[in-house]
Amino acid sequence: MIEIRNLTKSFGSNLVWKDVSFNIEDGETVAIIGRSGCGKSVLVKHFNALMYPDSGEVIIDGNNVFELEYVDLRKMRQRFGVLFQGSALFDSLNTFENIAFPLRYFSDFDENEIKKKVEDALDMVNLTGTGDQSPAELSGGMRRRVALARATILQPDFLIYDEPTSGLDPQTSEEINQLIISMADNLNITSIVVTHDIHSVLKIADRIAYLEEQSLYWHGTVEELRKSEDRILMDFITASEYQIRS
Amino acid sequence: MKISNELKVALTILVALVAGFFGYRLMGDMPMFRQSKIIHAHFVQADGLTPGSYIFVSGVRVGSVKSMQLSNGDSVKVSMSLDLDTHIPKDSEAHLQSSGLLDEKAIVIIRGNSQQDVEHNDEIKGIYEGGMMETLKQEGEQLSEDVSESFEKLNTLLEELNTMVDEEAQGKIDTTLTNLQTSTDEMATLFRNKRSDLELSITHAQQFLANMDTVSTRNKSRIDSVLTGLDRSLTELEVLSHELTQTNRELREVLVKINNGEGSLGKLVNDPGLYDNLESLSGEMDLLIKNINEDPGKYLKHMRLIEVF
Amino acid sequence: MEALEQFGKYSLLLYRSLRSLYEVDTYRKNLINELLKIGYESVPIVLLTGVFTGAVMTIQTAYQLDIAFIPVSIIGAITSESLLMELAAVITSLVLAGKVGARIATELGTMRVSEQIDALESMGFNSVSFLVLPRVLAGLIMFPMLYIFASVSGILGGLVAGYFSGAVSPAEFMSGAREFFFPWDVTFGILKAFVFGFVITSVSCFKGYYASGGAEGVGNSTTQATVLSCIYVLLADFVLAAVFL
Repeated sequence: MIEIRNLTKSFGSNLVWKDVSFNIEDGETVAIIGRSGCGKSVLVKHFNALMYPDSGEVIIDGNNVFELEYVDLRKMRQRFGVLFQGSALFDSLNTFENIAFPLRYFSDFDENEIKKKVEDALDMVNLTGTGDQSPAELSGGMRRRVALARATILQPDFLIYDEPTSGLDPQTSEEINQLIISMADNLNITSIVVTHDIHSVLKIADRIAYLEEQSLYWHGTVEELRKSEDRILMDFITASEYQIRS
Repeated sequence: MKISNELKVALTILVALVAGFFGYRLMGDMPMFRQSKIIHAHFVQADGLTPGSYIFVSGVRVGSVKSMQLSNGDSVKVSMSLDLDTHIPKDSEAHLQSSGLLDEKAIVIIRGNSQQDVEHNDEIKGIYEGGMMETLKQEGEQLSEDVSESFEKLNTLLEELNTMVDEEAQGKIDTTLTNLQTSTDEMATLFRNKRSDLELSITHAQQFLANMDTVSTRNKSRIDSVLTGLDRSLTELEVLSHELTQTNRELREVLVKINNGEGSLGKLVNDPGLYDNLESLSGEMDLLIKNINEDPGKYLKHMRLIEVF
Repeated sequence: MEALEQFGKYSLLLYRSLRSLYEVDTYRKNLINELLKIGYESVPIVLLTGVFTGAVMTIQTAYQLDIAFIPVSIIGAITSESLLMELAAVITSLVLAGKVGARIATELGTMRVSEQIDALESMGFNSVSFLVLPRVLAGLIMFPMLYIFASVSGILGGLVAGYFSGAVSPAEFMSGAREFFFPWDVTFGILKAFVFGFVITSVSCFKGYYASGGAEGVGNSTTQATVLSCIYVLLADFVLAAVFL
């Protein structure tokens, strides 16, 4: 379980958000939504202490991640898989090596076992046989899937998706959404999805956190969202709906 | 065969180290593959010499200075690394010299006559020779010392001269003048006493001239030459007489002074008491001489006594 | 104030990489890779720089010293002395500030803006020991080696240039070079190369590691990395000369 308590973050004199508090339960899929530039990605980078807040705590299984020693923090970070916005594949390595990368450093598997695991992961993201291609040769959707395979190869407890469908065509977006759902179901991973794609959210999320007005404006389940009559929240969602329909 | 990255890295480092090592040895002029013998020499000083400085024998480079260190007793021990095939007699001398205008130092070994060669770790005699610059410097120093010495002497001389003129000179000049006066006085006395002699001389001269007359008729030619000689003498005499005239004038002045009772002689001449004293003194002298004549033993006794002792 | 803050950040980065010196497993592969890129792949440009520096030195010295009573072996002395003490280290470093510094800053900057550094960190890697440490170590190891290459090639270049221009025969060149050869010069030159290697790699790593602002940001940090590397190399050169001579 991830407990977020009174997080406040600013860059210099610009306040990003303040007093953000909510809990993420094991096994559920939480969507963090909000306008571009409202600090969604910044928020999730606090979960594994890639960024540090001005004040507040993130408590994972009883430990405040911001107070961990670097050695312990690194162990804690290995419980997270992160799918970055731009995939963040190592462009000096090919697809196979990218996925095998965490295995080589953080597991005791021999070369054959690594090979088998990587190929399984490639099968899972429907990219069988692309192991020797370099990231530069892959399309945006393929890179996302390779990154997803890499993020899950060490079987993390938590998986953070930072804008997994942005910049992709609707069909590929749909494929990614299906992957996220199957990950959550098959591997029993707690998923945190940062997105402004309401269409995806309604499909994949159990609960939703909405960042607005430099704070956590609203959070609740998908059912609660559908019943909500909050104007600002409705404006955000219907704007997306309108985009999808038109 | 594909060269692995590790191998490339290892090769890079290895090649660099080997090149560095041999380059260093080469530049430091340390023999790489051949052995060398080390010999030593002591020098009074070794300024300008550095490890790596050359060593020459008869203008041929045979090695380099390996190390230098201060040794006991005010000297520098220089170790030289020589080619193994250099043969140098045991009684050779190592001269520390300058080569070139920049005053780089080098060691020149002058070979001796010994039948035995120097061996490894032997020592030969070391002689320090100043460089061109040093010699110039030394000469310059010597020169300036000399000049300043001369000036000092000149100074003392001038100082002495000053004091002399200032104080003593007057006294000395006084004395000189007094002496001169005494001389002229003596001259005057001489003239007075010898008047009769002079008259006699003139008579003799007349006789001589008469004789000469007879002689001259016989030896005319000779007399002619004598006359020319005399002529010459006459001119000289003229100068002499001129000088004599002057002396006469001065003498006259002196005599006038004497007559007027000026000066000690004048006083002597015009003082009757002194004259009386002198007369009684001469009377006593006469008496003394008479006594000695009558009884010489009385006085000679003392002489004998002196002879005895 | 901001400069001081930057210096603090830089020092902290170095401290973090130094602290992870024991994590050899993390950076071994990268170290080999960096040794290859900074060392092996720089050898040709260093040799080229060395040869031309030596050759130009020789010819220009010969031109300037065209006076009858100075022995021509002085040309060899001046060329080798300048190379060993100053030029081999400084010119090599200035060339490599462009080559190595720009590459490091671009690599790390790109990794930063494309979140690859975040990816490393999120996987549980120590990104500093993974990225910064091997580069700085490779610089420290390889720059003295490159200094040797530059010195040797520079003296050879001078020798050849002297021979072909007729200014000084190889024998005279070498005799001059040897006569004025002081072991301390080499020690000093290697020390310089060591310091310059550290300056270039660490400054470039710092600029790349903290790059921000997309492609333009990477461009900026690359420019800054090369410019600052050059400035700091010259500054370090001065400080070393002031301290050790």
